[in-house]
Amino acid sequence: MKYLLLCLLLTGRPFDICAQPPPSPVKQRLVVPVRKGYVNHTELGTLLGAVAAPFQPDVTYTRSSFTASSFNGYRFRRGLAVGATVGVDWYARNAVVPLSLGLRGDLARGRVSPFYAFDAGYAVVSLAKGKDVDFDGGLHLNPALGLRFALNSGAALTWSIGYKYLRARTVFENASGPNRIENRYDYNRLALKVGMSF
Amino acid sequence: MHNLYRFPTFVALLALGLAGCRDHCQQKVTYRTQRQFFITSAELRAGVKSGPAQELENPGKIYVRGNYLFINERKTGIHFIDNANPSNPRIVSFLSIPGNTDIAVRGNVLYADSYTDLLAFDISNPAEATLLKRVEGAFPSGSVDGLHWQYDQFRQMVVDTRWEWVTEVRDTDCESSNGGGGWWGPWLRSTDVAFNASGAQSASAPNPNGGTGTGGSMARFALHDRFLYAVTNSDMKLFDVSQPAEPKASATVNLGWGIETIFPYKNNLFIGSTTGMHIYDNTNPAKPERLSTFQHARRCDPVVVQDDYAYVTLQAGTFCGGVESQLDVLDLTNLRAPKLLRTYPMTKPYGLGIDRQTLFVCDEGLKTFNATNPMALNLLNHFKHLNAYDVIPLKGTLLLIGSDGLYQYDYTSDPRAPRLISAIPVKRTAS
Repeated sequence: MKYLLLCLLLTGRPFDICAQPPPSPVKQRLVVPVRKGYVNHTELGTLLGAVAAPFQPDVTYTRSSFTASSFNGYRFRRGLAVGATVGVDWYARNAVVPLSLGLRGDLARGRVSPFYAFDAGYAVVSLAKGKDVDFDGGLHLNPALGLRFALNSGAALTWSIGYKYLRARTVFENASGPNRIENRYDYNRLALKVGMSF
Repeated sequence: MHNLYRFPTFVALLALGLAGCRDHCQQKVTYRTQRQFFITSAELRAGVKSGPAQELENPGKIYVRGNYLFINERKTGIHFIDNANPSNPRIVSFLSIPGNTDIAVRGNVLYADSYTDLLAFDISNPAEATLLKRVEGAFPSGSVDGLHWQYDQFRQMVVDTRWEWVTEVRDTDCESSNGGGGWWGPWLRSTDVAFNASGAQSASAPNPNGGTGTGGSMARFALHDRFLYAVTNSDMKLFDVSQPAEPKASATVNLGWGIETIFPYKNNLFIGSTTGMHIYDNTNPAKPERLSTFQHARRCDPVVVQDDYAYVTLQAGTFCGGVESQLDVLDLTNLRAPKLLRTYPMTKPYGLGIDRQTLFVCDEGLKTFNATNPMALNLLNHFKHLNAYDVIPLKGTLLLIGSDGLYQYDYTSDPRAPRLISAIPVKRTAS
C-alpha cells in the first residue's frame, strides 16, 4: 500500500499503472556512443576572460563572449575522431567564424566518460565588420577537456572546459580622409561549453 | 573509474589556471596631423637664391607674363618657364623662396611673398633672378589651404605648420569604441589633398595693365596702376610700386576675416572671402572704396569677372565649410548691389577662367561652358580624366595646372575639344 501511495504521489497516474509490479529491470549498461563512423559534436558556451584597462595597468575588465561550434568528423576508434569544426565567436567588436581541423576522443568508456577536443584553424570571416573595414583572420586554437554523459537516445550530453585563442586584425581606411586604423586582437579565453554529441 | 574521479579535480585546476587568461589588443593609428615648425629671419634670408631648373613637385599658383610662366612651388619657390613656344615649354630656373605662395610681375620686376616679407626681384635674366628689395614685416600672418602661419614677436621667428603622417600604437581594452570605424582620436581630418597641392585656382581676364602679367582667380596679389594689392586673411595691404624696384608699404584696408582672393577688373577689385565677395571701387588706386558685399554661405569662392558678370565657384566641404558646391553667376550692372542671377550645381569646383564666350571650370576634371548667355550656360564638354584645379585661358591657350603638372591646350579652333599642345609633368616619386 505504501508503495501504491508513493507511486501516485510521484507519478500522478492511476493506480492501475502503479498496481502493476514494476518490470524487472533489464540490466543494459548505458554508455557513451563510441562506434566507428560519422560523429557530430555541437556545443554552445561562453568565453571568459579579462583585459587590462588601457593606461591603468592595475585595473582589469572582465570579458565574456558567446561561442558556438559544430564538429563533424569520422570516428576511427574510441580515442580518435577526425573532422572539421566550424563555429562563431561573438566578441564585442568582432563576430568571427573560425574554421578548424578538429580532433575528438574519449579517454575512458562509461556512462560518463572524459574526452578531449582539439581544434586548430583560422578565423576566416567577420560577420560584424563595418563599412570600409578590411578583416584579416588569424590563428585559432581551442583545446579542451570535458565529460560526456550518455543518454538513452544513444547520444551524449557534453560539458567541457578549454582554452580559446583567436587572433584577428581589422583595418579601417577612411575613404574621405587620410587616416588608417589597424586593430590587432589577441583573444585568450577560458571556454566553458555544453553540447550534444552522437 | 579511479581516473574519472580525479578528472573534476584536474578540470578545476585547469579552470583556475585559465582564469588568468588576458586578451591583448593593440591599435595602430596612422593619421595626418599639423606639426609646428619655426623659421628664423636669418633662415628666411638665407633661403632666397636662384638656382638651376627643378622638376615640378607640388605646384601652386601660376602666373603669366609675356613669354614666361611662373609656377609657384608651394612654400618653396618659383619655377621660371620659358613659354615662347607653348608646344615646347622649357623650365629655365628655380628661384628658391621660403614660404612663397604668391607672385606678381610687372616689367622686369617680380614680386613674391616670403612669409612675413615682400620681395622684389629683377628678372631681366630669368636664369638668375636677383633680389632688389625686401620689405620686412609686410604680412604678420597668413594661411595657405587651411594651414596657418604667424610671426611670433616674442621669439622673433615665423611659426608655421605642415602636414605630417604620424603612426601611434597603443594598447586597447579590445571592446570599447576602438574597432572598425572607431577611436576618432586626436588626428585632424584631412583637408582636401588635391586642394593642398594647389592653392592656385587660377582664372583670368586679359589684364589691362601694359607690362603686368596675369594671375589667377585664387591669387592674393594683384597689380593695378602704381600699386600692388596683397590680401592677407583680414586686410588688403597696398604697396606703392611706382618705382618698381622699391616697393613701399602704403595703406592697409581692413576687410574682415576669411579673405582669400583678389581679382582686379577694370577699375574695381573683387575680393573673395569665405563668407562673401567684396567689391571695391579702385578709381583712386591709393584708396580703394568698398561698394558692396555679396554674401553667401561659408565656402571657398574663387571669382572671375567679365563685362557685367561675375562667376564664382563655391566649394563646400574641406576647410571651406558649407555643404553644397555650386557656380554662381552674378549681375554686376549695379556694383553697389550685385544680384545673383543663377546658380549651377557643381561637384567639387576649384578654379575657373573665362575668355569671351568660353568659361572653363575645374570641377572633377575640366568643364567647358558656352557663356554667351550667362543665364543659360551651356556645358560643352567635361574632361573627367584631367586633374585640374587651376586654369588661365589666355589668347587662345588654356594653361591648366593640376597635381599631375602643367598642361597647355589650344582652344581657339574648338572649345569643345581643346587640343593638347604640351605638358610638364610633376616629378614622379617612388611610393
